[in-house]
Amino acid sequence: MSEAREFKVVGTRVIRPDGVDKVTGRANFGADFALPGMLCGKVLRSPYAHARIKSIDTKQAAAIEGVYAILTGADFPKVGHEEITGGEGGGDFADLATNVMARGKVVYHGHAVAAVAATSAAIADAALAAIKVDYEVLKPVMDLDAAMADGATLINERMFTEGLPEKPTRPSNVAAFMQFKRGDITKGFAEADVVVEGTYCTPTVHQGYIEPHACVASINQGGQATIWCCTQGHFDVRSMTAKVLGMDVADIRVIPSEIGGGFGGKTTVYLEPLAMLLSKKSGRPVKMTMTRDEVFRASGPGSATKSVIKIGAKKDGTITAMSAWLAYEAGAYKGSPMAPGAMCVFAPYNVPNFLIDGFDVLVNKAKVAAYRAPGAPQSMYACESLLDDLARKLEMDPIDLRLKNAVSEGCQASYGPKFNAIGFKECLEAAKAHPNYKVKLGPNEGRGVAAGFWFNAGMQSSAEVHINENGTVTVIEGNPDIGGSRASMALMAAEELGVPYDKVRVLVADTESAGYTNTTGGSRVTFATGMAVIQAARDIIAQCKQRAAATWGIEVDMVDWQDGQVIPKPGVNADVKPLTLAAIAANAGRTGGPLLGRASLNARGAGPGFAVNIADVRVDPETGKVDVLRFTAIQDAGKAIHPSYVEGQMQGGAVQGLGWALNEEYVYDANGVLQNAGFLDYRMPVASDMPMIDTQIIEVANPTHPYGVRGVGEVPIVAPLAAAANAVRAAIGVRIHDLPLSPPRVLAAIEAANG
Amino acid sequence: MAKVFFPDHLTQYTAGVRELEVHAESFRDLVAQLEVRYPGISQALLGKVAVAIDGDIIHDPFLDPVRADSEVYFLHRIDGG
Repeated sequence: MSEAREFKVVGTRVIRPDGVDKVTGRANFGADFALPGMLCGKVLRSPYAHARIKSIDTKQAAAIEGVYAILTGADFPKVGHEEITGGEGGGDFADLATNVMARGKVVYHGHAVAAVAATSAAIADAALAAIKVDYEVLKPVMDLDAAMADGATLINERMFTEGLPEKPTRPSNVAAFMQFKRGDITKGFAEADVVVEGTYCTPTVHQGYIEPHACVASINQGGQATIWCCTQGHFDVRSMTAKVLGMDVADIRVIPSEIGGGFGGKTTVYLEPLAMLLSKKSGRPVKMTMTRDEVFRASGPGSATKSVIKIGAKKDGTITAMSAWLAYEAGAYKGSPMAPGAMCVFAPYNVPNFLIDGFDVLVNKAKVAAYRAPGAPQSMYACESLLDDLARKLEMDPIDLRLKNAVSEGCQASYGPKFNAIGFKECLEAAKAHPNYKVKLGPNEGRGVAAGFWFNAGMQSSAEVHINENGTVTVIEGNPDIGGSRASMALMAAEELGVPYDKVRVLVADTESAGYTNTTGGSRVTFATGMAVIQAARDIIAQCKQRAAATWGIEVDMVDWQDGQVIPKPGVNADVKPLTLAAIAANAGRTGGPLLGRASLNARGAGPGFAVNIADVRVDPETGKVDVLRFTAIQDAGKAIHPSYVEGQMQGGAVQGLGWALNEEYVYDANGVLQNAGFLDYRMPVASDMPMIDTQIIEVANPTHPYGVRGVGEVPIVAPLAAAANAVRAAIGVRIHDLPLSPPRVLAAIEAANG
Repeated sequence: MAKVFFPDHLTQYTAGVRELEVHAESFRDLVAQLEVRYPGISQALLGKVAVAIDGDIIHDPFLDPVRADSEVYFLHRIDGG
């Protein structure tokens, strides 16, 4: 349980141990690894979004000198249907295997149909060019309306909608239906003085991590394999690769590199099973690296969505009813983040009557992957936009409207349970009091407010704490460090053990060197792995007390731990002097051997995260270009272990969300071919596009964490979409319902409004 | 008696019942008792859904304690990104 305590090092802004190597280029990322005799692996990808594979002829390619191995779907074992337990999308291992390498059919442009390993990239390219694939081209299904229409072309003829009240008799592109409801929706709307309704669409977007997917795989003749790769979760790489290839997880060791961004996109496998099988066939290590074009086409983007929201309220702003119809694109295999989107959409508000219908829908696009608070930005963009229109209609301040309906401790969440301590109202009040909320705006400028919510995750983590012979500390854990978690783990270990931060080193260990640990994702690492580190450090403290007591020849209950040393309790012989951690470590061989603390846990009670954003924009009425003038991110962190890295998450999430709001979108042609698979044409914001993102951390302690921590990594991306859209609405006087708010779309709206 | 709440997608197993009271000391016990009342429901619960016991969400529950006054909600699993 969270303790009221004064912290010594937690909450300070120390330098992250991996920082210098990362900014000077010394850190090793996925594509940096190399082995002697290594081959270059490459993938042949489908030129069609939807087609049957009639035949693949690899003979000519195999005859090219320097080509060591060629793979097609025929080289892979059949993988049976089995739910992937991780991931809110509810994916299936059979689909994962077919996504890695097509069998019989390609279902998106860029789908892998063959792979080669050769002595050089040029030879691998020549081999790919020599592979002949005969396709029967099918009509692609490229958006939700087309996919859900009666008589739609089916992407998977054997898929029947799950979750319908009655078992369907015909296959459908709708993979799943879910409904959430409370109260009497008809009565709730009847009680309303004002009812507003809107339909909102968001496009397919990419997480935009800078580092492409990359790996090296090597398998020896005895079947023992090693994978070096960039990933958010190397234990998942191990289990997924084993499943796709029919291997035992015990035969696969996965060593994670540093990671250049993931945001949920590196929680699955694309290249690793291919590199492994190519290594097995060739007898050599094989390296594979996606090009940027491949990352856009063939890794997992975020879902495009369509949301229809309706809200009823009394004249004083009290919400009486809310309804949502939410459709999420899953890509070509089932498993969009529809469910969390549906669970989040009304989560910040007390709603006595609501109805939410959610649909998981197949389209001929790459299978979506998790993207930071998966599903929440899309549905909450819709709801928070409509709340803005409701506030305008009621002539209420948008923060006051939210405060009127905001959830607090003891309120029942729309997704079920009652909230424990949460900081939503505190965030709203901080927003209302913030100086940026009072800045006077000029012509063509507008201000928007929006709220965000994310559950945060707990799950399994392990940690070891080793005390070296001089009293310095090594922490061993299994979460790749994306957002500064080494520093956070070191701070928590230092806090517990009473040693300076710079006496703690943190090792992100591989699958054979760390206990099982769930993926770096779900905003879970500082919460769950941090809890494991604290428990492992407390294990050390317990051992130190025992050893000191034994050294002094007294009972262990006569000693205490204080400021990094064991002290005798009052009444013990005055000659007994405190023993520091270093002193106990130096004598460890004579008191029982090395000091090694361990913890493994399945963390429960990850406190939910709330955020409130204020966006100020200026819209150029001649071009439709939107400039962000000010952006204020306010968020409940529970307890900020390292405030700078919490602020970094808030700022990064804000900028990602603003990119989603203002410019980012996948653009397909009529045949389902992506037209903007590169950073020049897929317009993500860069530093010069953005003002400094102002941040304010709210700390309402999470009662289930020893220090009060709640996850902070995902909720920052939820509110910026609506905050920006609401600001543009205020600036131009008309609501644009579809994202992105790119210059052509904004200009068209201005011109339409002006007649 | 702990109060147990079922989301819509589980009411197909409970003949439409959305809320009931169960005496159980752990999530495992609770599921066992639900299985007696609603044969087949354990297949849809163990390893399939998350649970919130007194507001704390547990991703993969099994031995987690349930108190006499606990409120238990079944939820879709959330991992995040």
